[in-house]
Amino acid sequence: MTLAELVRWTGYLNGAIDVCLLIQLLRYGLVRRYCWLFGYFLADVLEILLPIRLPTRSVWYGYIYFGGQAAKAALGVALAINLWRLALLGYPALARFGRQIVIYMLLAAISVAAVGLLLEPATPRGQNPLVHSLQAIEGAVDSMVLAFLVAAVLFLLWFPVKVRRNLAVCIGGFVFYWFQRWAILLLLNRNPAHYTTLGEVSLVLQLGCLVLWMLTIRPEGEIVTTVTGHRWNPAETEHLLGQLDAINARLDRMVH
Amino acid sequence: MSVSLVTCAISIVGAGLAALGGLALFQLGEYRGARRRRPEEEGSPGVSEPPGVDQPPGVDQPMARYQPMVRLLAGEDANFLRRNTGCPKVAARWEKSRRRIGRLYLKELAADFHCLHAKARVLVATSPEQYAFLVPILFKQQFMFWRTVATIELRLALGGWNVPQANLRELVGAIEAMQREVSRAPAVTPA
Repeated sequence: MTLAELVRWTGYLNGAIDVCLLIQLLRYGLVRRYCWLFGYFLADVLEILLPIRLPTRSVWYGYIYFGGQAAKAALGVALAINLWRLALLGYPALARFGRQIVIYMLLAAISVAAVGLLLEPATPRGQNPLVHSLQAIEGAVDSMVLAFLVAAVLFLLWFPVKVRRNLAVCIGGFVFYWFQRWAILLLLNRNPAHYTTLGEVSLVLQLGCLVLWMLTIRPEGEIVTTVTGHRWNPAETEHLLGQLDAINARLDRMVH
Repeated sequence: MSVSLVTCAISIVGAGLAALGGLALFQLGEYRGARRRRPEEEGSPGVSEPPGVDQPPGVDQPMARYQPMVRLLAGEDANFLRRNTGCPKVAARWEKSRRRIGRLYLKELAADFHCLHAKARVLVATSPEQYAFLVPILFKQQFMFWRTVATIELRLALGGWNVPQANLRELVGAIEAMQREVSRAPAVTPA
């Protein structure tokens, strides 16, 4: 078996696991809650299934591949926002704050992605300029989603917020998923000669993520057994915040 | 950007993400530990608190803990030694020890702040929607505290740090009041 064939079969295996995940989400009644996740897996399956009879280097194969990648990039952004929203569901104040800052988080993530895009080199010899540009944009979107999710995870850990196990698995898995996509695309645009090898590495890593989700997303992962927190007391909280302000003010006076 | 630089960038991001994952797992472990401990201590099954919140520090004798810091950092003893001993070695040794002990107190103070801040975060996290404005306040407080402690550390590293005694007393008073508040915090409740 050649490396190209191995890539093709790993892609099919990814598609098969995607189908299993779609069935699993339907069976467990999680489609409504994780609608963007469902859409993402569906786009992945279609991207694998539609060009199954087409030759790899054909124009239509290219259209389907890049169309699928664009759809997945858009769905990825929506999915990341959806995961952020779901994580803050049981926390009204944090959820409201989360809605207020989501646009700023996205803008910051776009800035991170733009820096990466600016550092992109000229098209290497032997690579199609259009393919190079599309891959650079794809990598930028992946890095944007990655930056957004990392910021979200830091926020959730800092507070701390308890999330459902399924959601934690999704967020953790997607952080790794988008990291590997971004890293592989970055390497691919600099080493187009290693296209097949890097493609195989990426598919194997994606397969790992898909298997992890398949094994860990369960109906019991949606059940919240405990919630961290004290009974809400506005007076107490405001008093506590006042005290924290006082400690900072006094420390500040010590310095100045 | 060369391939080695790209590999380096990817490795750094990867290491950062691995550290983040490690932190998340650590937090998870802390929660599990807290969940195992709390029911035995308080008889409230299945309720957990974030690490560091359940035991307010020094609630038993709050003022006594920071009282020596007031005298130590006010610098009166150091000035007295400088004026009266006539031995620069003794004064220098005193200064060195003063800075070392000052750092220890600052560490304690930071631990208390973080403990109280963790409690405030939990309270805000479980608050109703209209209190969302408190979230940026918490961010600001954390940032201000880090900045101030860093400045004090810098001053300690560079040498003299004489702080007016009135300010120190105010600071200790504020900590004492906060600790009283923490000790009055209501019991945790499942949502």
